[in-house]
Amino acid sequence: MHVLLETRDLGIQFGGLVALQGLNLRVKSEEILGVIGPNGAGKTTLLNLMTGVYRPTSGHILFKGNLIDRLAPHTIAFLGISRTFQNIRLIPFLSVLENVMLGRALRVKESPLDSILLHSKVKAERARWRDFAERMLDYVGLRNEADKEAISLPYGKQRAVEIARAIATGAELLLLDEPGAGMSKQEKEELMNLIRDLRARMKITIVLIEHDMKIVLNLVDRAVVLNFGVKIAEGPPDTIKSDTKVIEAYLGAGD
Amino acid sequence: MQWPSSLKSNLQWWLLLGWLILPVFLHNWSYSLHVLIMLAVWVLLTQSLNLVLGLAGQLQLGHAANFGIGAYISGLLMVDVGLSFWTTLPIAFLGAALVGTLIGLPSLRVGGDYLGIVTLGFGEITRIFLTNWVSITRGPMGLPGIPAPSVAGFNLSSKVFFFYLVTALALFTWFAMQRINNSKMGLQLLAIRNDEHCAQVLGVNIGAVKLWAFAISAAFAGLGGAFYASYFSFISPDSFLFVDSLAVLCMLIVGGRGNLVGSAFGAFILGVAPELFRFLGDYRMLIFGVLLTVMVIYRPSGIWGLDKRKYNTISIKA
Repeated sequence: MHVLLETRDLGIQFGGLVALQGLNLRVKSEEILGVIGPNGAGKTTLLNLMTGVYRPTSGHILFKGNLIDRLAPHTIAFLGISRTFQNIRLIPFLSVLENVMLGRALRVKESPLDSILLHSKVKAERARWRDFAERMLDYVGLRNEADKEAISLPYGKQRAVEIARAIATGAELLLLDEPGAGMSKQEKEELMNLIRDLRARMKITIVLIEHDMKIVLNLVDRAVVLNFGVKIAEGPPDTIKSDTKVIEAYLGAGD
Repeated sequence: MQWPSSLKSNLQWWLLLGWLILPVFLHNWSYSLHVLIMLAVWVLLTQSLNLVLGLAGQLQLGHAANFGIGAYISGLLMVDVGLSFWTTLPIAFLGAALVGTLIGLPSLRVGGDYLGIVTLGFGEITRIFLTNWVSITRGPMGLPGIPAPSVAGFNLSSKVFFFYLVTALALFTWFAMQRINNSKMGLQLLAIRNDEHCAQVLGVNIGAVKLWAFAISAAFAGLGGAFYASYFSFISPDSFLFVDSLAVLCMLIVGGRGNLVGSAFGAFILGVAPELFRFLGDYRMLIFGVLLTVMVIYRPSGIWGLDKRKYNTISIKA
């Protein structure tokens, strides 16, 4: 398995606060990598670095062998990295289908002049666009909800729409920020099946931030543990579970 | 009440037909026609500002400057160069687009109220620029003697002609904005309006899309400006003030930002009401203030706003 994304000595500082430091990380193609750690460990910061929203103050990020840490977020999205958010961020006033179409928009060729003229080429492009978005909805099992406002759906379905929107961008690497937070047991079950299927059928590599240990232990191939911006452990979930440093980070050191 | 279905589905065409034959039924002809012409100008301005303010959510307080730039480009080219009105239209369109892009540049760095202050400043700079560049614009004396459009040698200075001309321009603007609302750019603008961070990780080049919105919005306002110059045959820097930008903003807020029907409705209410309530004198302004306050408190999305948006109109399945 080759390396899809790699961070080299990655660090970021906000004023005096070191949010992430000296992080070396390899995400292998078609794996599910868990990123865990207590609150404030720098997990979400890491995702913001990978998507180009933050600029690292030290180190580099390579995606498919190319440096991406100086690129704009929309360029990185185009190269094939997408994400979902801890607090679901679907666009209000847009339907379920339109939210997924928005995710696909970056691969759609349509200039403002095209939009006004609406010639046959644009219409054909739009038909393909819509078709693709509908297939994504089919995939997550929400085809019947296409015409509803996205933010009116129940929580679990909103998460599925967000995932459909993220993979509609054509992402090869999907970053999931606590996808299971706030979900019922059954919703979590469905989510885990979806994530497994993303890897198995869509061949998408996944970086998963999660607090729910059941999800982590069930899903991930490897896990990386962060604490105060530093990697303290890395390995298969079973080894991580019994690592003394990890237990200390979560529960505090005993005497 | 049950509407006959044929009437309901064709309502827009009946309204348009009614508008087109309206001049026949007017009392106090010249004055009423003037009100209708100005109403169409307001509609054009709300439709164009809506792109930036309603869809992209960028507080643009200098829309009158775009309008003024279009008016001056067209007016000066007609008076000093002797070009025909029809030739100056596309030039005013492109010139205003260029200036609109400049006004949009700060939106790449600042947002919200701060952008409002910057765009307000741009509007003022434009006015001061027009006032002081006397050698070209004739400064505060203004630009008199702008000719009416001519077709095949006939000078069409009648009000009825101007009425149909402005109707055509406003409809063209409405049509173009409708198409852009239901497009890739429309979706991306709504994403920017609601969540810039989310938009950019989904691959929206927010800087480029915002600048396009500012440029297109300004271009159509420039068309309106060109019409205005020819219609009044006189323009001065005082024709395009901050209060005019503010008036368009109020129309959008009352009518419904982000919705073209609502925007036009706002233009109708705030464009016609001042004429109907002329007998109240300056108390009219008080009523506007109250109306605006009530709207913002009780119905912030406007009478017919984004919440009335139709879903999935972007493409009918092929």
